[in-house]
Amino acid sequence: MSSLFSQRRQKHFMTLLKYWRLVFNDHFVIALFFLFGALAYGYSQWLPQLNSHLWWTRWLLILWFTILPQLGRLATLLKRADPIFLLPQVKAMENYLDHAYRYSVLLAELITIAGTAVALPFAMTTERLTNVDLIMIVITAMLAKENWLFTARKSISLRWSAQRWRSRFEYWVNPLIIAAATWLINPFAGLAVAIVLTLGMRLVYRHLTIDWRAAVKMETDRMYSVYRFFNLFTDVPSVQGNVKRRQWLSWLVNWLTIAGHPWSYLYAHGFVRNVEISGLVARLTIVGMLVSFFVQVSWLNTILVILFIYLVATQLMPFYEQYADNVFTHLYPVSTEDQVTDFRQLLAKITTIEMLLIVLASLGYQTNWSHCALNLVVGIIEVFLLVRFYFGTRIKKMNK
Amino acid sequence: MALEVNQIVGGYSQIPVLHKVSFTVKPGELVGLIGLNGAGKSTTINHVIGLLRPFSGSITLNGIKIDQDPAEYKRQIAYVPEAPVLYNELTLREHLELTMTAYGLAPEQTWPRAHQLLKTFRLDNKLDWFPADFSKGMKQKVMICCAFMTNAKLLIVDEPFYGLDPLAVHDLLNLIEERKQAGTAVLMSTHVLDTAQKYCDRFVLLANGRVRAHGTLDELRAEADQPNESLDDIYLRLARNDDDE
Repeated sequence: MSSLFSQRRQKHFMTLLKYWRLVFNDHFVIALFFLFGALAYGYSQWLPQLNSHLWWTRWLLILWFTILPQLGRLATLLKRADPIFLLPQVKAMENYLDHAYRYSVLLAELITIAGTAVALPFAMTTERLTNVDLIMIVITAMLAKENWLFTARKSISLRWSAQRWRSRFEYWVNPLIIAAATWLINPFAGLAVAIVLTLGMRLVYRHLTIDWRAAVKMETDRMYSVYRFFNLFTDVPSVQGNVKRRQWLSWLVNWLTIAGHPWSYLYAHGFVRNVEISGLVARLTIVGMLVSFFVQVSWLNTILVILFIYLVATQLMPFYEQYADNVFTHLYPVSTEDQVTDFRQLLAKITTIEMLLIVLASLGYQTNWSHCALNLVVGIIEVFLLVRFYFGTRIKKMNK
Repeated sequence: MALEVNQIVGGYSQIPVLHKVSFTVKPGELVGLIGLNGAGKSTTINHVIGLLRPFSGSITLNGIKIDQDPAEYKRQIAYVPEAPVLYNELTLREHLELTMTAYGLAPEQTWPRAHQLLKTFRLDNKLDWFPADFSKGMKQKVMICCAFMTNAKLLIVDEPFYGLDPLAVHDLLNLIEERKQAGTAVLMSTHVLDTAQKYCDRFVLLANGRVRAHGTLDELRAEADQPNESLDDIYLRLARNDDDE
């Protein structure tokens, strides 16, 4: 069983590697680096303005350290067919899951350490912390994460899987108690609470025989979200995208459709109803609006506006190929040129709306009209360039 | 002559699957494309609908080759695939609308026919359903409605009998008969041989990517020198002989 897990882990790595390579090939990454750079810059600008007399800093730390353990899940690498093929191996599965658990802890703790490292400069500005305190904070965060993973482990056991609300409660409340003890009392108290909770969980939750249904579901959900992440950069076959009718948006569908153009009809309906693509565009637009609303350093603001318009446009472009697998799109008596033209129309309309929204948000809380007008001019030029030229080169790449 | 397949050699990659396949389908005629799994039925169909390009040989539809005028060539074809292919984001009504737009059909004249087809297949109250809500058989019926709604001069039906209930099979055969009377050429691939024997005017028997025999049932019997054999027997003997070779 342990060899089965290491086999699967290797295969899993290969899959991830394949996708990571595609991710780092993408222009999108350059944009993300900019975004992270801007965030880091903003963070470093923000720190000196803080002091230890602000009431909310501790609550922010508690929030941060409650959310942090939610990152990094239990990767069991189970497959849908396992309950059938491995059914007689229930006992041996515990060994398999132990391996999976260790593997998940290792990865998740790396994330935890990174997340803690991000928060520490903030904590050191607002709290008085000794070196011992810092070490205790890191260990506490790691214990909280371990505790979280153990909750996940017991939630896929026959004995405890039915009590979903209980696991869900523990996912959030355990880290919350630990973080509250750390920041409201002191780091030592936090560490003590973390140790007690970790030991307590082990005492209460024993006999962790696998619940196949819960375990397979948890793993499929996890893989789905992993694939969804990669789907931001490249096409992942298993992320098909759910569909919602969204009748209240039928005006948008009508506006996007050019009458008598089958491709336009298909793209407009597909875009509005496909949860994956429209959700992505909507989320990026909202984040873009928030960022351009709050970051009011004027040169940085314009760069961010440009960046987000670019991001949305590039994320939308792979949608051109959404129906390539459907034989009927090859059978319709319609030429490829029509397809390109119709998609270009959709792209132009959506990026224009998104550009207007982000530019409007860039007015910011200071309602800087002249800067907003500048952004509008830049945005119009950018949308024109993206739709007219950049899309053309992307299409050539895709049609190859 | 509606469809003329002339000496095509073709396949999915460099390796040919079809070896000099030739046959014709006349207007108002139902031709059965018969063969075992892997005989080359679907590959042949994929060439006819233009999804694959033959390495050599030609396919002509009412005098038009696909390279000459792809749009006009495709406008003449309606296709019911073996496994239903639908758009997850479109409702049944929208599938029909899209098909009308793609084939340039006038909605006012086409909808009455569409409604009639939907009624036949008991889908008329499911116009606002999404593919996710349909069973496999229902999806197959949607494909049939879309194909039979058009004015295509050549209907291609790939393995239509799987997943359809007996009533739907009966209705489908009636529809094919109706279209035949109206002068449509129909090419149907299948290995449900007793049904094929009853309904097809002529047969093209494929094995290992080659046309092993073609003609009416009587011609096939004469060729085999077995005047009373069923299509089933003829085909089985052919297939076995091939295996022995």
